[in-house]
Amino acid sequence: MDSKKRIIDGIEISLREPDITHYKWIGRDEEMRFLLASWLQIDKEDLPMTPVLVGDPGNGKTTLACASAQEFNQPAYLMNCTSDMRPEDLIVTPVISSGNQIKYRGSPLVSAVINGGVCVLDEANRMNEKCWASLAPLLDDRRYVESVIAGVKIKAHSDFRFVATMNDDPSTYTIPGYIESRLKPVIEVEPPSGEVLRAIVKANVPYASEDLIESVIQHMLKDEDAFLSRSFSIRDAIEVTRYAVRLSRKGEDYQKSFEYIMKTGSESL
Amino acid sequence: MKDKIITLPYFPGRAEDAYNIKEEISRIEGCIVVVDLPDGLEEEIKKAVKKLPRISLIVDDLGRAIPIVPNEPAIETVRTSLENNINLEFIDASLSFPREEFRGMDKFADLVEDIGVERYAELMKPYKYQYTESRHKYMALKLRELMEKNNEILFVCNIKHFKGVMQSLDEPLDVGYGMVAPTTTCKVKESDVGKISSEIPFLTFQYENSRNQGFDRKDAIIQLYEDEEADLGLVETYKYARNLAISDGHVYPNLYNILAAAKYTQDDDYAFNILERSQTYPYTYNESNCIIKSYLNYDLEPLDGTRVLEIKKKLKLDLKGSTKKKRSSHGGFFRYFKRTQECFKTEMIFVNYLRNNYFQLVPSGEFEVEEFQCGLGDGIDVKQSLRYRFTDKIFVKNDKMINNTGYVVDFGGISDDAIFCDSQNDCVGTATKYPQDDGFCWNCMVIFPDTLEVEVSSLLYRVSYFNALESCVDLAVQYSDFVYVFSDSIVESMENNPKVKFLPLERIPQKLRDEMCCFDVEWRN
Ligand SMILES: Nc1ncnc2c1ncn2[C@@H]1O[C@H](COP(=O)(O)OP(=O)(O)OP(=O)(O)O)[C@@H](O)[C@H]1O
Ligand SMILES: [Mg+2]
Repeated sequence: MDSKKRIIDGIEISLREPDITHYKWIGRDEEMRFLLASWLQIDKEDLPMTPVLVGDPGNGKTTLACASAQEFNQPAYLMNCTSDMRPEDLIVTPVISSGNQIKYRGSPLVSAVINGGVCVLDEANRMNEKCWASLAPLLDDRRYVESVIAGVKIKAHSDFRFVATMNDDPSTYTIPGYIESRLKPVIEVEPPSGEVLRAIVKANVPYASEDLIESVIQHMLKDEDAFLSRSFSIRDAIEVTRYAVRLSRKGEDYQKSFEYIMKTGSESL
Repeated sequence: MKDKIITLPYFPGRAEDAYNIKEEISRIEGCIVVVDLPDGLEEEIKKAVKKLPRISLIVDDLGRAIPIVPNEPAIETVRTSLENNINLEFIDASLSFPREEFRGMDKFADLVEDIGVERYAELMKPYKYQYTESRHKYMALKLRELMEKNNEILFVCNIKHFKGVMQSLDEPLDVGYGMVAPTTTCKVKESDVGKISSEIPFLTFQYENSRNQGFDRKDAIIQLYEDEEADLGLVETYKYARNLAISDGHVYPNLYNILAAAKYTQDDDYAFNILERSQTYPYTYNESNCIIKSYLNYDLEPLDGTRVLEIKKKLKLDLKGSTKKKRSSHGGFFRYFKRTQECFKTEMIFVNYLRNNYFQLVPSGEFEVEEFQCGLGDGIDVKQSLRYRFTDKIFVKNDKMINNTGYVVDFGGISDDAIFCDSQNDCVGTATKYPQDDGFCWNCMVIFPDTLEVEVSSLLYRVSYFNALESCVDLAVQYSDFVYVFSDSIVESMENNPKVKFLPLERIPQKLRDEMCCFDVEWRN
């Protein structure tokens, strides 16, 4: 069957392709085990859990979610959340096609619900209460979503899995209690050890020399307080390394540049 | 001759196996029970078993130890046999290698203490094969002797050794040594139970309580999880623990996975409580005659073996205590101040941080109308669509969202000094003078939404010195649609107000807080 179109209760809904991801999750096997374990389904009666990954920005939540989907042998459908998102954006939106016909377009979430696969609800804390309310039946044993616009109820495929990612601090919206109790387990994605950080940077900036990576890492670890208080993230380390490669190609003194970057924060990139 | 033997292999420490063995022994008749405990230690072991449910540890000079715990299958074998008056034989070798091998290492127990069990086990490795094989031979020899005298033998044996012993039965045997290493029997205190067994002490306790009815590990773990606060999510917590066990290749979760499930489905505090409860085993000695260290079992492996999971016990920071000041009996007086340029910048950063990171958008009730592209918004705008009907365009309307969030930041301490207001950033609050110089430090402040329509100075009078937090929250609620309160205390009357959210002060990055907390003034009167 064409995976791009489905007819549900007589309504044709066009679906998204899964995201093509080649994420490699380095080190930190436990975090991945914690996530994969929540998706296990022991028997038919048993329902997979609906986990959420929390942690400071740039520590690998999105990467972990996508890499785990890969490990779980399911396609990943990435759904980015924004604060002005509406329930239909999350489920099915009407679009105008040629001849002024209204067509229905399924979101990545609905595509995962219908085709089976992992929906990564990224930055879910940005979503407002209305959107969360529309997810409630999907997150418990009912396992369906309802599109008010298309007037259909969509039952989840048995291979449908869910994971949300949220930033630790800024709670743009408060998540309603009835949703919070459904989002379990809450897995913390912590900043990695120096060793793992080194391996991650190496994998993400393969063209940087060992020496360069080493000096970036040393530089980042030097200020241990800053590292522990998480004032910079893995993303910062990767960005700083990339930037350093650029500088060193230009023949500039990157030691000085690091200091500047560290002081002014990653915005200066 | 082998068909005289009924074998009951067990996994060491596994309560389920202990229970099955107990059932089996209680059922049989006219059989002799043989167990793989050291020949020569019958007296010591039986004596300690009779003391159960109080737990002992029999330690020998080689640093090896036998925990006398209820859930240990070999120990349950002894216990049931004693209870049912069944003939019992110990057939493992106590010291099955010649001492010359360890010349110069007279006091093994001391050595273990000096170098640690892991290193000791490492040192023993070269001898381990020979050591294990000679034990198998010793057990086979004893079994043969027993087979000659008895009709039927029930052989309870560690699953690791069972095959080796059975194979040795067919071989010619010459076992020369069966020395007994001297032992000490230690009374074990509750806090040490976790150190001497791979089983969770609380589950050992559950086994002891249910050894006559049958042990169900799932029930026991659920009992461990049972908590006044957590009963709602208990099913999820157990389910997650089970999934974690499966992902580890186990049927039941170990302590590590039990705690991980508690941490991730509830929180760190709950996990910490479970950790504490998991170590309870009430039937113990209050005093011990030994200091219980790490020991090896007879297979030269550490008695316990665990992974580490970080559980942060939430510490309640008492900011109040550190800055507490005596209240003056007369009130204060209002002051006007001008912050230095530096402070003004700091304040901007602080206020911007809050506004950008903590806000609730609410519909304003005003609609923006735009051409339909995708998404129906808050509905089709009929008026506009009719007006443009000839163009075939559809217009939809969107409720305009506005940010009307206010903040209360309670830095702690009680002011008897000053109430400040700042009309640039729209905030009011109480502050205390620095003892050393001309500056002040905020105690509790309200930052109003930037849509505030009244003059802030008119609100100054509503802030109270003594109930600073409460009065600040009141004010903020009145002039905002939603209020974030950053404080380590809670205003009870506001706790259930849906417009108010309390967050710990530490949610604001330390650096921002530190910079914001105190300010310099240029003049005041
Ligand atoms: N274990 C890891 N293995 C490989 N790459 C990693 C790992 N952890 C983090 N990264 C890298 O770090 C960067 C940031 O990760 P990611 O975008 O997943 O973070 P995030 O937590 O989702 O951030 P945000 O909260 O801002 O969305 C990515 O480039 C990613 O490749
Ligand atoms: Mg992300």
